Amino acid sequence: MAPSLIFHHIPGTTPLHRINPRWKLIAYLAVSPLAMVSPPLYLGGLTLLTFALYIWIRLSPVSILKEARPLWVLAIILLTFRTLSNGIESGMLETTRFAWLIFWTHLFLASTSTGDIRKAIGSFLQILPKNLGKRIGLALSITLLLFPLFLDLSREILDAMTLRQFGSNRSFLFITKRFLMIFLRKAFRMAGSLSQALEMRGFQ
Amino acid sequence: MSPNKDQSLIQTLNPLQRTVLIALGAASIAVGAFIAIPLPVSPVPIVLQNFFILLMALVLGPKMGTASVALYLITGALGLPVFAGGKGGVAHFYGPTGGYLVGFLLSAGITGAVSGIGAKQSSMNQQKPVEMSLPESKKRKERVKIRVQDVAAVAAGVFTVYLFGVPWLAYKLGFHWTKALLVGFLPFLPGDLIKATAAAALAPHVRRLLRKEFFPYAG
Repeated sequence: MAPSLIFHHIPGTTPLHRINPRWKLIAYLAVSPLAMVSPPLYLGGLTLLTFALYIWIRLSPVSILKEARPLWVLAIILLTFRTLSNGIESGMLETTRFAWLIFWTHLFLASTSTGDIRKAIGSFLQILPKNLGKRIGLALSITLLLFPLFLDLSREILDAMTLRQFGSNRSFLFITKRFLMIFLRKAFRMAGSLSQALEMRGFQ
Repeated sequence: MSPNKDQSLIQTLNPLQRTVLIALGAASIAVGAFIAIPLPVSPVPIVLQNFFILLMALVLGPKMGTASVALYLITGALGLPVFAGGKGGVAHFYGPTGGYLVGFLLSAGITGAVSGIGAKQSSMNQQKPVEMSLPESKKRKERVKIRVQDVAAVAAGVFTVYLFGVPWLAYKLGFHWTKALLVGFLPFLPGDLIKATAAAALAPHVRRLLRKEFFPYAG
C-alpha cells in the first residue's frame, strides 16, 4: 500500500481515480454533511465504507495517522472537551465524526487532482457571468493545493524549531512571532512561484 | 510604506496573481484552524484562524481580504475540515456558530477598509520617490499613524464578528442576550484581543514580505 501525505493528490489509475470528477465532487458534497448528523450506526457503516475504499485504491490509512499529527492533537482536545461537557458517549461520537471527515476528505483529494476539481467546479458554475465560475474554480483549486502544503510547512517549521531547541531561553511571544514570520515568508515565496508557473502555462 | 500605499500596489497585480494571493489567504486561514498554540495561562489553546483573517485583511485590503474569507468559507461549506475544531460542511452556516462565520466575512471587509482609509490609486513608479523624499520626522509620524490605523482596524474587525455571532447564537439556542454574551463573547474576548494585537503588530512585517516577493522593484 502506498504511503500518503495528508490531503495531497496521489496520481493513480485505480477505478476511484478514473471516476468523473464531477460525480466524485457531488458524492463528496452529499455524504460529508450527512455524516455530520447521522446516528452512530450509520456513521459506523460510512467508516467501514471509507476504509473499504482505501483498500480498494491501495492507500494506506495508517500512514495518514502518522502524517496528520496536528489533526489528532485537535481530536484529543475535542474528545476531552466534549467528554467533560456532554459525557463520554458524545465525546466519542464527535471525535469519530471529526476523524471520519479527515479520512473522507483525504480520500477525495488523494484520488482527484486539483486540475480536475477546478474543471468540475468551473463546469458547475458556468452560469455565473464574466468567467466568474472559472475564476472561482481556479481559486478553489489553488486553495486545495496550498492547504496541504501549508499544513506540511507549518509542521516542518515546528519540527525544525524543536530539533534546534529554539524554544529554550526564549519568550513565548518571540517563538510565535518567529514561527509566523518563517511560515508567511515561505508561503509568499510559494505563492509567487506558483503564480509564475501558472502564467507560464497560459493561465490568466 | 503605509497600508494604503500597499493596497494601491496590490491593485496593480494581474488577475492571476490576485487569484493566487486570495487563495493563499484562504489556505492560511484554513491552516490557522489547525495550528493550536498552547497558552501557559489557560487550558484552552489559541487557534490562529481569526488571527489570519485579520492579518490577511490588513495585508491584502478589503476586497481581496473579503474574497479570501469567502473562499475559505466556500472551502468549509464544501465539507473540508477547515472550520474551528476541524469541522466542515454547509450545515455549520445554519448552526449556532453560523453568525460568526458570516461575521468573519464582514470583519475582513471592515478591517481592510479601516486600515486602508485614505487609499489612493497610484502607480508603482510613484511609490519610491515619495517614500524616499519624506524627512525622518514625517516617516516616524507616518509609522505611528499606520500602527494606530491598524489597531483601530483589527478592533473594528473583532467586534464585527461578535456583532453577528452573538445575536445569531442567542436566536438559535433561545438564550437571553446576557447569557449569549456570557457564553459566546466574554470567554473568547481575551484570546481574540491577543490575536488582534498580534495581527496589528505583525502586519507591517508581512507587508514587507509581500512586497519583497511580489514587488521586488517597488522599493
